[in-house]
Amino acid sequence: MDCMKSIRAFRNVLLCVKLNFILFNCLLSFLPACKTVPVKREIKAVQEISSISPTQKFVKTHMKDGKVYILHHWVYDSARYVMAGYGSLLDINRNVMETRGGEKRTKDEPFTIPLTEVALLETNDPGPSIAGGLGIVTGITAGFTIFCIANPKACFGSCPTFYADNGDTLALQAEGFSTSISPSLEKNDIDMLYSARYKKDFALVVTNEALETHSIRFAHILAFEKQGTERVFVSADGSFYKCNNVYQPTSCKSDSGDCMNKIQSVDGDEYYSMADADNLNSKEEIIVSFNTEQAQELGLVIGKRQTLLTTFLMYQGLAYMGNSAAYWLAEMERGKIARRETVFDLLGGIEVFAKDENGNWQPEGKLHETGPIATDFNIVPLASKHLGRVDLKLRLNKGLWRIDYLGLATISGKVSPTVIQPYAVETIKGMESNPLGKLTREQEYLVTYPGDSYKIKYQLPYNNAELFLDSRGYYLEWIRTEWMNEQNFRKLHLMVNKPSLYLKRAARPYKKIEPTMEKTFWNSRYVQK
Amino acid sequence: MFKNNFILVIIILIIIILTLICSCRTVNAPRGSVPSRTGIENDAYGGWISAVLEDGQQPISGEFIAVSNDSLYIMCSEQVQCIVSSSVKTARIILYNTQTSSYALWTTLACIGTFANGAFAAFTFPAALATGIAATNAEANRINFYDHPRYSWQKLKKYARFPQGLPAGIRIEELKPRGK
Repeated sequence: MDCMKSIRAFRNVLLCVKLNFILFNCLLSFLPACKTVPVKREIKAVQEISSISPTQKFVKTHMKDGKVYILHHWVYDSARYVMAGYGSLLDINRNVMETRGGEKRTKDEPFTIPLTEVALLETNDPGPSIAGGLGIVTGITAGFTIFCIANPKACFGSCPTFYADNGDTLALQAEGFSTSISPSLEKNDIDMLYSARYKKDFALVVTNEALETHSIRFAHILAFEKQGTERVFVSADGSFYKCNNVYQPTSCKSDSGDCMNKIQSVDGDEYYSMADADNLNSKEEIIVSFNTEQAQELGLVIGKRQTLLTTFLMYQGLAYMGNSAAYWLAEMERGKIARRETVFDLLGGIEVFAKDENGNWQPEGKLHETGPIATDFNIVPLASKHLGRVDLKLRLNKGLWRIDYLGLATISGKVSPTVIQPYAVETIKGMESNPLGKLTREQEYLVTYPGDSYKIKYQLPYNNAELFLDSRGYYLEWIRTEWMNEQNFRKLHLMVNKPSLYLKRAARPYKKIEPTMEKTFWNSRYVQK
Repeated sequence: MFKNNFILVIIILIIIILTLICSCRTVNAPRGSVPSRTGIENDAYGGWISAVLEDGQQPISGEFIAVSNDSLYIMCSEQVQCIVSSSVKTARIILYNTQTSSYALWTTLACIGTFANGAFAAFTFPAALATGIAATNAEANRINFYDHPRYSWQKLKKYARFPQGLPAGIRIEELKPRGK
């Protein structure tokens, strides 16, 4: 008996030593780094205001007379050449002269600041907080991990994600080839790097943040030289349009009410609706109006990303395949599964209509961009010129789109890009020995695994340019153990062969997790930002 | 006996913590002269500058007000002094004060608090210690300052109260220090 007790005690001591050894290893791994995290202060000339991300919460506007506005919510009105926002006005001794906004900001008139009186603009990024400690972070992560196990189809699936410096921080800019989930579906994807800060020595960081294998054939930059506030947008057919002005909408109505404050600036505050509880294939309409000052060629600019509905459906399909997923995907690769209308075809894209002189809605075009991660911007050119009021209608699937921005751009003409290949690739984390060669030789791929990260460098030719990412490749989902439990060929048959009926049946399970999917998704990334 | 030894171990470890923190640089400005790191977005004053001048002149320190072509404006005590920028041998501008001492205190209390865990302290104590040291160490090593001549005045002027330079029409006598 005593002997058994001694053995147990010895085991406990051994376990304790082992655990402490692990903990102290963690501790020692932190010590040599002595990491330094600088505050980043950016000073911008007034002409560079459009390069400040509207998501930058605080902006200090230094006036020529020495006063300063500290704005916490703000927009730039290019037409009036003013910035408007809520915050405080401080005198030369930094005493508060006036405050507008705060909790009741909707009742206040915002400050309107003529940019002609502004000396310069300042933004600050205080860097990440350490307070709270790794213990709390670990606790939160563990909490979400538990939630993720309970809702496996809400967890992060990303395709390659591309980050660039937006002047304040390294910001998510694009996700590459989201629909290319197998080699046979490899294709190009063009994404606008809307908020990337232009500089001649430009860099993108590509990461793999999901349980996936990414094979990237290339990642080129498409550059369009531009002046001042000009912007370039790409249409669904891959044409690029240079635009010299963007009108703000005068009204925006959706089935659920006014949506104006959601779509007038690129601020991450998006318009979205919830999916229909009886049928995931249900449409809604948004009516948006503009006032134009002269008859000219116009195009509707849409900044949008998808909700997690398509991610849910894709993961659900893989879960139904269960242990046979590899078989089904191989069959698809061999072309043995005939192409037919899918659930994704039924959900569709965003259709745009314009109201003609007779009050009839005329179709103008359609956009379709798969992916729930990065907001992408496209233009739908309008067939005819409009003067004065322009009414446009967007028809889209309920609960499928998150729209951050709508604007009516004046098109000055079609333009062609300068294609720039990377000149260097720096491995942040990854196993590729020659990542640059993999990205520049046509028959090879840069292959990345969960947690990998590479910095891709480009030399850009112009003083200022609009940038797009042209990436090509495919990715392979890792089948999660939790999905195996859902193998169900009957439901797979229904999904593939009767997609319309399937979207009705899938409504109920989707609605159960819809409210929390977005949060769970972003907290389940393989690499936490 | 066991408890006494355990307390001794803790005291030794806390000494290690303090040694580690001291081994990394902690640079702070006088209390109340700069904001905390999180307050920097909301603060419109200049950073705290300490300048060593050529030719044995007295060092000067205070709020960094502005930079002009050949001069620096610094709020010393309650009035602005204008000094020729070429007469500055070295200078350091501190943007905010770190919270190293708070973190060290938090680490110490957290470690002592694990006494209440009974046998589980065998795990929670090293965890609290590891987390606390890592966080304190990182806080102590935040770059909260910039040095001249490593950075030119042209680069450093953005940390002044008036990054655009002293605005036309402002008399330096009008300017008051923080909190006045």
